[in-house]
Amino acid sequence: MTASEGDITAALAELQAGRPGAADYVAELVLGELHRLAESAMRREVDGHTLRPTELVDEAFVRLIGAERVSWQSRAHFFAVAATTIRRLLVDHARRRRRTKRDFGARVTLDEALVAAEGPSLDLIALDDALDGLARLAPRQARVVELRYFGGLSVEETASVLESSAATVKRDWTFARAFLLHALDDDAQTSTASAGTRT
Amino acid sequence: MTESASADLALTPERLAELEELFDTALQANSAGRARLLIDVAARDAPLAQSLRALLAAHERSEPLIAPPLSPSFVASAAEGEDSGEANRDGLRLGPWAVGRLIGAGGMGAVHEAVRADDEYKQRVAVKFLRRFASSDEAARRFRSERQILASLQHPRIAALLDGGVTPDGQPYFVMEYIDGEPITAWCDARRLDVDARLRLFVDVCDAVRVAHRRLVVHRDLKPSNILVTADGEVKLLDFGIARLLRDEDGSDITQTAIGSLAFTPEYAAPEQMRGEPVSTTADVYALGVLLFELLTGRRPFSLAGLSASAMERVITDAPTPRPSTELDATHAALLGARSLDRARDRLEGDLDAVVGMALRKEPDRRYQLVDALMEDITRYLQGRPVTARPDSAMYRVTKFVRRHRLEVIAGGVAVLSLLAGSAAALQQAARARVEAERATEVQVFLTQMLGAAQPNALGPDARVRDVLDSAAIRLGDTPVSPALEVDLRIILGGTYMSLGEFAEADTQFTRSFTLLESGATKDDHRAARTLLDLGVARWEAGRWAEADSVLQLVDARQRALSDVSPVDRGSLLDLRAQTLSRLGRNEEARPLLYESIALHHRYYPDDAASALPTIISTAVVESELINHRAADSLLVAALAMYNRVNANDEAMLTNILSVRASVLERLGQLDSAEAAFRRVITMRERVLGPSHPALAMTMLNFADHLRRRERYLESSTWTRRIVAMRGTTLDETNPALAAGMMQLGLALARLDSASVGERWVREAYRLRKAIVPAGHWFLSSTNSSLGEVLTAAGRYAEAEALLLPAERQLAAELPHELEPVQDVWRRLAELYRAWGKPDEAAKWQARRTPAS
Repeated sequence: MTASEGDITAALAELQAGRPGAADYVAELVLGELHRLAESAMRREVDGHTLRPTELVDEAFVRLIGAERVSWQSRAHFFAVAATTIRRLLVDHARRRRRTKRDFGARVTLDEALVAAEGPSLDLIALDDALDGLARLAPRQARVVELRYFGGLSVEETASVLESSAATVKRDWTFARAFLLHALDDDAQTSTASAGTRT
Repeated sequence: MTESASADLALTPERLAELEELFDTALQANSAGRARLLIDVAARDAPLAQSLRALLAAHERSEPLIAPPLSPSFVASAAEGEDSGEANRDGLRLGPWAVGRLIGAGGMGAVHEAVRADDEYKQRVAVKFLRRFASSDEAARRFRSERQILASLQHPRIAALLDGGVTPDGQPYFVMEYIDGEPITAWCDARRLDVDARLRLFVDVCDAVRVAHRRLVVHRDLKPSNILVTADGEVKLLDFGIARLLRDEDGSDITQTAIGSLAFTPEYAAPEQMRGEPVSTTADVYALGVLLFELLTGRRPFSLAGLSASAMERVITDAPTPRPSTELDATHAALLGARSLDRARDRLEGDLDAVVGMALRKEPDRRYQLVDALMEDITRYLQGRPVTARPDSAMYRVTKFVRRHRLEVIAGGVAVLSLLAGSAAALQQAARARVEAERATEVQVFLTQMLGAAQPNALGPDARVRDVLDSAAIRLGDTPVSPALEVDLRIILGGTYMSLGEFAEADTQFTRSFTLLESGATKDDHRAARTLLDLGVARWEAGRWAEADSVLQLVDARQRALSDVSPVDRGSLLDLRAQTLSRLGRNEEARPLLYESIALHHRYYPDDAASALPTIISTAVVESELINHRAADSLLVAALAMYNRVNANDEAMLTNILSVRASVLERLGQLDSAEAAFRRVITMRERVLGPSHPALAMTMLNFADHLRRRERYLESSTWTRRIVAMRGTTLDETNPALAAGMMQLGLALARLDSASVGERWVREAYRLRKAIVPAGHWFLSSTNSSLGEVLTAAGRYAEAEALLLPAERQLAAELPHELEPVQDVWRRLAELYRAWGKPDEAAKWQARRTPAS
């Protein structure tokens, strides 16, 4: 295991206080932990096995912070750092899989209710690209999606991390979600269309 | 031609900001406003309008696909759609229904009168329009899934659902039977009904709710305006299951933003509902408690007028619940037809206060678990019998837990087989019912005659029955009565103590009457045998199994000697003695008794195959303990077949069979089948009990253990983390499943190379357990034994040894050696010394272990 728990708790306090460098330090710890978790989870991944990003983040949280009661603000900051990390990790994984499997990207089911029912799923790589596109135009909205979706933060937690209001976060979230979904549709239609022309 | 937000429009940050602004405005508007907005935008900037339209279309579908991952605080953000104001719906046609005037409006939406237009009888109905959903697709999807359940809910006291759908502009609606009635509270007050009449009406309400719960429909919004009484005095419940349609995906109620849009009414909402947590049938029990409070006192337990949502939540979650007797005022006392306020207060004090208090407990698992139990208590009260409601102490709950889940607990939180006590519970009920049916009226007479002078006001709030009994027992010792009367009275007292869970007192009373029945003028062999059986039940209930067994052995001998023992008495003895022997690890002796009991069932109750099911489950457990897993499995398969044949419709029984089967399959090495069975049990219990019920936690604990033993530590920890997450909500600190979950989590984490975090969880488990069991209890040694395993994983061998050796001494001294805690501590010692490089020591402990089957 990496850092001692004292380190991480102190780093979290610094993170919350906005100390420069704290985020990098936490990110490093989180990344190490997530890598190990993700590797073991993905090794076990079989067909149809779904991976929920927040489970991994939660796991990392429990491991790094343990059972101690951490204030929800530092918890939020932790998850905010983890959000970026988990996004990178999942997308990398999806890319690797695409290379080896030549399929349409890793299908990661994001809604527990849809696990049982053969529900729709998102193309993670396309989502990542769309999110990058959104970030170029509207960085705050993109960050909201990253925090909520990959980090599992609530509206209030997101608002606290971004030092914004809950109402703004809610509005950004609704908008960004529609924007991304639409972008994903375009993507799918474009690739179907081009596949059609090729035949 | 694709409508693209990004391609057709050279998007810049500025244009995107404008687009978000317009998107937001469009979402706030109703459909007409939205159309106008699109036209306006198109007039000045066609590509922008096209993008906007595309985004709105995507929004309609986005709900399920990009959902935020589950997080406890997510509920705070659930609200998305707002009611777009009340449209004028008079004159609207919905299929065959012609909508008429508005007859009511509430948080959930508007209610209109309607008639069936194509019908010459002009059937009068009520149409309820629900608040708008985030999208009409979403509304339609939820509606379809719920409609079937609601339509099947046919009961004379539940208003029938006739039809329903979604209006062209996306508004879901229901067509329901039109009920001409008054809210139950107003109805009672207008007629100045007395306490008994109100309670009888309340029992009718409970009966309807109970039927719905059996169909797995939770009302979620029970309140007087949904509980009408018709002119001829019939209770009718409205809006069953409709609140569920307003729930969000993760099971939480859509609340927030504005109180006007709550899917429930705060005054009647349980604390967990207020917090936006998933709710189950116990939320309805709470609402019924509020209703009962209001029927009795004219007011609700908490006054929430003018409070903000968060202040309401604080009050409901934290404020102590007042007692009806203290809240009653003179005005309402008059409405109850009482001659004076004091008299009316006396009436409520004690049992009714206790019943209301039990229904209104803050923690769902400490309320009445079933509406049936609440209803039963009211019925008991009306018949003058003692109520079961009483304060709960931590130790009481622990002993109860130990009894109910003996195997799991004996394994020190390592769950093995669940719910062994199926037949014991049935038996105990039978014993209680017998004692009480025979003597309920006598108790009444005795208590009123002998204790007429007892001062109800001098007694505590929740413990009236208990205190009355205590003084009765004392007075009985002081008062000269004939031996025959003393026998009767002591049996009555013992039976009543039993039903209150006061087993030590019951023991004393039964022992005295047994002594009297053994000799002299009061000698009576049949009654002596029966009283001895009651004594055995009392000791069994108290968890004093060895002492119970010595008594039950005597009963067995006496029953064999007497020729005409009733099959009920014989069956009770056989089941109870078998349970006791099994608990003592004497499964070999338990087995023939169980088969005799099954045969007895078949002989005397050939038409009621289901009655033997609890005994069959116990038999399977015993066979499995005797390493006859095949026989155990056959019994369970037979039980399932029997269950299906009688179509018992008793989900609790079915899940009992399945959960035992899961463990048996596990022992048979059919691990994948076992896993499937565990998952099925969890799914069923989740559906019936909601996602965070304590009983569900127990099954999850078993499953987590299964996964851990299969070295699937990460998955195992996912389940135990769900249990740990119930802390402070459905599992309070004294719930043994919480500590057990923590311990499992710690053990799994230790295997995931997180020994230091694992250690913290096991230590936390120890801390919780220490608070609920007496000092020196082997439970604590068993926890230390787990801690030793975690420390070994961390390479802290000396510390591990310092914990494991004393733990081993106590466990090996106090428990049968084949049980898991003993086997586990030996395994852990062997593992410790192996890791430590002391092979001789390791071999010594390894040699003690029973080879795994």
